[in-house]
Amino acid sequence: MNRLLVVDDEEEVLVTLERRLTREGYQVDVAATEEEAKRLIWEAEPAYDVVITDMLMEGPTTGLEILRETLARDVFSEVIVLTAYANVVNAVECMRRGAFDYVEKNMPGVDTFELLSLKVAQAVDRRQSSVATVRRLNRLARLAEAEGSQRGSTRVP
Amino acid sequence: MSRLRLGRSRICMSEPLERAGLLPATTDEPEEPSVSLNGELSDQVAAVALRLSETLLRQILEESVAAAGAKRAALLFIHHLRRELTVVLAAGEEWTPEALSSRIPILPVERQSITAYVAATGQPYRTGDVSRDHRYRMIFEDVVSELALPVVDSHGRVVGVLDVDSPRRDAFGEQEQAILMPFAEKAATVWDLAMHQARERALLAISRDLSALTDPKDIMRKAVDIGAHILRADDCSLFLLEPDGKTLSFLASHRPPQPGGPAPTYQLGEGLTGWVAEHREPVRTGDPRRDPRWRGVVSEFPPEEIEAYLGVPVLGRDGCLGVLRVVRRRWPSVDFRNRFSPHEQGILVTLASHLGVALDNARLVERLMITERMAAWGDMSARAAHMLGNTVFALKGHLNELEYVTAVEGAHADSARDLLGQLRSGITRLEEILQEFKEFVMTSRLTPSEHALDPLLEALMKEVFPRGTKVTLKIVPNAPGAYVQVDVNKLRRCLNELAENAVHVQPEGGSVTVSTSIASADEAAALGLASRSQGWARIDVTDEGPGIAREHRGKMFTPFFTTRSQGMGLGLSIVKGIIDSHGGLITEIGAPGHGAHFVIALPISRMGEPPPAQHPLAEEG
Repeated sequence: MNRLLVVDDEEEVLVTLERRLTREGYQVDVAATEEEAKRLIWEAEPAYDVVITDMLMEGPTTGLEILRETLARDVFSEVIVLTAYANVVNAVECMRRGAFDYVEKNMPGVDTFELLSLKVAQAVDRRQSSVATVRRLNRLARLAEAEGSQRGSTRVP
Repeated sequence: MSRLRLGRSRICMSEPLERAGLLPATTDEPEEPSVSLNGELSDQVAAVALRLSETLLRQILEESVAAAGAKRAALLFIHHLRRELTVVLAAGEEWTPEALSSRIPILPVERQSITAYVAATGQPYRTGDVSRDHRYRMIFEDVVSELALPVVDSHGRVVGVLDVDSPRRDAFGEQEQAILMPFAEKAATVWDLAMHQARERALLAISRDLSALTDPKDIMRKAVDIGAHILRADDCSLFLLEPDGKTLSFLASHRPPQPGGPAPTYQLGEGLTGWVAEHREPVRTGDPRRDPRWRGVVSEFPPEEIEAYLGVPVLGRDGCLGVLRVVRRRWPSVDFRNRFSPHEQGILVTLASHLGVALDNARLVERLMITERMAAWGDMSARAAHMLGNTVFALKGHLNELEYVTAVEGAHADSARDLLGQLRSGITRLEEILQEFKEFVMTSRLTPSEHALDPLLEALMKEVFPRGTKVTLKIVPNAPGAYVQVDVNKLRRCLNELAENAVHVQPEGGSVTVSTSIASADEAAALGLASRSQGWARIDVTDEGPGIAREHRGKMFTPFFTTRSQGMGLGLSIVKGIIDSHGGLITEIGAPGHGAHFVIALPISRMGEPPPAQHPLAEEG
């Protein structure tokens, strides 16, 4: 089961997101403060597959902080940033620093919950394919190493 | 009061202690230039000067009596605006309150009394038998001889008259006149110095007053009033340069301006005033009509009545802001030197520079306030978007879930009902946010009624204090008999906010103490409250939480300031708005780390019997 962390300072946002994503079959943890989120990120074993965080909580840099901690814990975890009101500059900055995507909480006429569950699924896919790619690369590297050592051994007199 | 003090100068003749400097001449010397020593002397600066020089001038008068062998001596000063001489100090015998408050009009030469003649001509006057002198006006029945000398200031202008009398015939001759001349000169020097000092004080007070004002209109009104007073001018007007840099518009004057019509204007360089603005140099002249630059565009009085004109530029950081000018009126049929001196020009230049700085400041403050207001609106829209956005987001989540639940075959009515409940509470939250906005806007609309403070406060506190908390409430009513005019619903809102804050900061429990008292004069002054006869009631709200951090104290009452992540941050600004609208004050005086301590001061409407014990809100329904 894929593990998600949802970070937001509004309880009703946490409740609704947790309910919706649990319905999708994820194992969902929630955090209402930056501090709690950081603690959970480092305690989670294995690391969260996807972290969904609000952009702005205690301070204007909360979203960026959570993004940084998540990637520091596991570089293949994916982060989706939520913004309560469109702040393209901040969102772009998050993307530049490695966020998977950003979702505006209030887009007229858009069912954000459907959109978000789609994004989460995509993020999970990307993480899995990234992890799979790395595994494959590792295997190749190991094979290459093994081959090299064999070849090398023949050369050794 | 003025008579009393003047009367004392008579007593001090037989009181050598005071002359020896062992007794202070005035025991209670007020510092404010607005205190008038003599009710007859409206010129505030002169009043201060008189107070400063009173001891010395009185001494001169007493010595004059002795030196000339006179029975009485009096010092009269010219009241320029009223065109009369006023007795300011007297020495010798038999001065009655009526005699001390004598006012002598300065009429055309042929009808002048002795002192008025001396004031108008600057010539000494001597008479040995008043019964044969047509200029004599009787004040004392026993006067036979009179000698009056002009008191002339350092600019050669007559400021007053030194007058002595005697019941003897031909009491004063050439010799007495020669003896008294130095006394008149000494009085003039003392007066000059005192005026100088008084003007300096006034200028200091002006710079303080002007820099305390932030509304340019108040600053300009104040400046023209001061200009007229300090320079003994019949009018003082201010013209400011329009943003086009070419037009000078009339902004303010000491005398009420002519009603109706557009504000008079000068073009830059036009007339004396336009010249001052263009060249940034003062113009000081007698009859302005004789000056080739004069055009008579705007005149405070008919041009033929203007005796003297003085205009100085008002300079700001970015150049000339305008022109400050004063005029004196001619005294009809009296040849009287009344022009502005170079010293007076210096004073007006100083005043104009204070004015320039104050206007610059006011413009900066205004710009700053606009910036701050914009920033506040920015904060507000960010917070509003955050709060409303999240609530609407959650509502959409509930709808999404409701859709899912009802789409499933055999949907659970229970979970649908549950979601409907959540939708409903989300909408309620939206309405609460809107309510907070509304309250913020409506804080100043009051429907007040009179209540005894103590029972009202006790009832309201019990009503609003949150239930089911670990925090205890203590009420200490100690303002028996104090009645206040309050809007009960608005006061309830304030107390509710303060109580909720206090409970919120003590999650582990603690206490909130609400006490009332009647503020002592010292307390009121310490809180910066204006003194009022009915006094102030105070409500102290203290808690045992962490207190208010020093850096938050300044902005805690401003809208959209909050240390909590939730809420609009309007709570305390609403409280402040409500208390301000009641003519009261709210401030926070707790030491950081030792709990918050809010003080609310409300004006007491009356003191009366404490009402009989009954529910004070009974009539409120």
